[in-house]
Amino acid sequence: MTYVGERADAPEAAETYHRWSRRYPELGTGPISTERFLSQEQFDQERDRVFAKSWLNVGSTQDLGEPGAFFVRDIAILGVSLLVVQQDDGDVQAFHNVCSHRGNKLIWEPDGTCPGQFACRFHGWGYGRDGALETVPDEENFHFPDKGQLGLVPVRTQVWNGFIFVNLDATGTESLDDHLAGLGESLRDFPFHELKLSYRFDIRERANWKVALDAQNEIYHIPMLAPLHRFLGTAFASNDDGYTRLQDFEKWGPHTVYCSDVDPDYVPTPAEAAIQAACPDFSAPRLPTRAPFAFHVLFPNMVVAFLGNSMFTYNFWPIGVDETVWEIRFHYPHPRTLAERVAIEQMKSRLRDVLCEDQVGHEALQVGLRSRARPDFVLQDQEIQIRSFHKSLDERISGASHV
Amino acid sequence: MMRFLCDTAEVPAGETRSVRLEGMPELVVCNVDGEFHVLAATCSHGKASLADGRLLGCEVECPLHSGRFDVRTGRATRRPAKRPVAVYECVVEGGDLYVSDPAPVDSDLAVALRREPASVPPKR
Repeated sequence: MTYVGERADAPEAAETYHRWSRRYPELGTGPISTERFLSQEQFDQERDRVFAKSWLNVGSTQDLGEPGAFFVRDIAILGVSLLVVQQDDGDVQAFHNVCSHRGNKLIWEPDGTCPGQFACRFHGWGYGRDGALETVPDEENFHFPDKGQLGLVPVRTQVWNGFIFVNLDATGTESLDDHLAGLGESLRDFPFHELKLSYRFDIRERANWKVALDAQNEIYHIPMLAPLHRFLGTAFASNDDGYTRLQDFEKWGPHTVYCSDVDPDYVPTPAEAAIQAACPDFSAPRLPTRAPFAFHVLFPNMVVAFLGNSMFTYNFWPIGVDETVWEIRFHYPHPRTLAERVAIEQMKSRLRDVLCEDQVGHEALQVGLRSRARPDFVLQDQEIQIRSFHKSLDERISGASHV
Repeated sequence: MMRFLCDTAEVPAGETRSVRLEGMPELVVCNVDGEFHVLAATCSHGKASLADGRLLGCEVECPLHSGRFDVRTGRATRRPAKRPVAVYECVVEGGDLYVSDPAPVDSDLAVALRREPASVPPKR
């Protein structure tokens, strides 16, 4: 297994400043413009040159489970509705969720299992789970020669470690593996299937999608954001002044990962101590890295993060310039005892409160940026991930990097 | 040397008060249920005065980032504060509070300062 924390170059002193900007000088040290979070033109470019051409995670095979199982995924920024279906051979295929007859949205339910055919509500056209048009009521009255040409329009679909990705660029040639490259490789051997979806939050917030992603893409704020973040646990090492320090940061093309080390001085909360005592084995980390916290940003809008024994994913879905749906899913090992089940429920409530604290922060950030009080803002070395993300975004938009 | 600090009546139970003596850093007097504790007032993290913060039981909370310190030992008890603040010996005599100048050397702060510099072993 490849460990993210392993690198060949010499270790650096823990307390040197500008550690990451020296390692990645190409990311620069300049400010980030305010306008990129407010401009409709920027948003349109992100839609046309990034979202319309990138591999996007739309769900997990855990959302399906049997042949014919499906879910509908509407992607607001692209103005599309997708029907994602598990095929008889176990593969997953996404189609435009659009009837070939009059262009009606085909399936209106959020998810379910295909009852033989997907039937349109409007005139009853029926499609197989492979997208083929099978039933046309009063077919002889139409003028088309061959209904074989009128199946659902497929969308490029690939699965990586159970995560279902689609690419709306029908002419694109980059495979999902090529897109994920080193990041995909680093997590290749991790037993994702051992972690089950335990709970999910979809947060609609009044903030640009990059505001939300950036705010999550650093741990400088962890000891400070009050009142809950500072009790997030033992996974966030800090120096003697209490400032968090990354154990590692790595960049693979447009994707990044940062890791944080154990904080030996962290004093568990009473609830943490009680849970640790009740289920000591459950909380043992099962991680693909040696760090207790690792945050992978899969360009452009997905996060796969490991925290203790859990894995969580984020998907940031732009709705408009200043509106985003932040999709959050937490996965844990299957609980073996009642105590472990209680532990998951406790984490659910606790993290819900922490995430609310984040949401309020995202929206406050947007309010501040929208005032245009400053043309730009600054980032420090522990926020290099943000710098990296924005550079990758600019490169995609300008066409400097391949798609 | 013990120096006069203030009249204990000026610091009601559950409250704090800032006192400045010549030649000493700003001090904060904390009255925990009639028991007095004196600490260096400047937070070890954010450089605000702990005298402006809340006293919660045996802990004083910094008004800037809500870090907390145990007023008996000076130990940081809540993030983001991590380093201790100096604790001064004090005595009450006839309603007056006296403080030692300088701070005694066996405080948590002194222990922390004697500690080896934090060495984080290379992870790779």
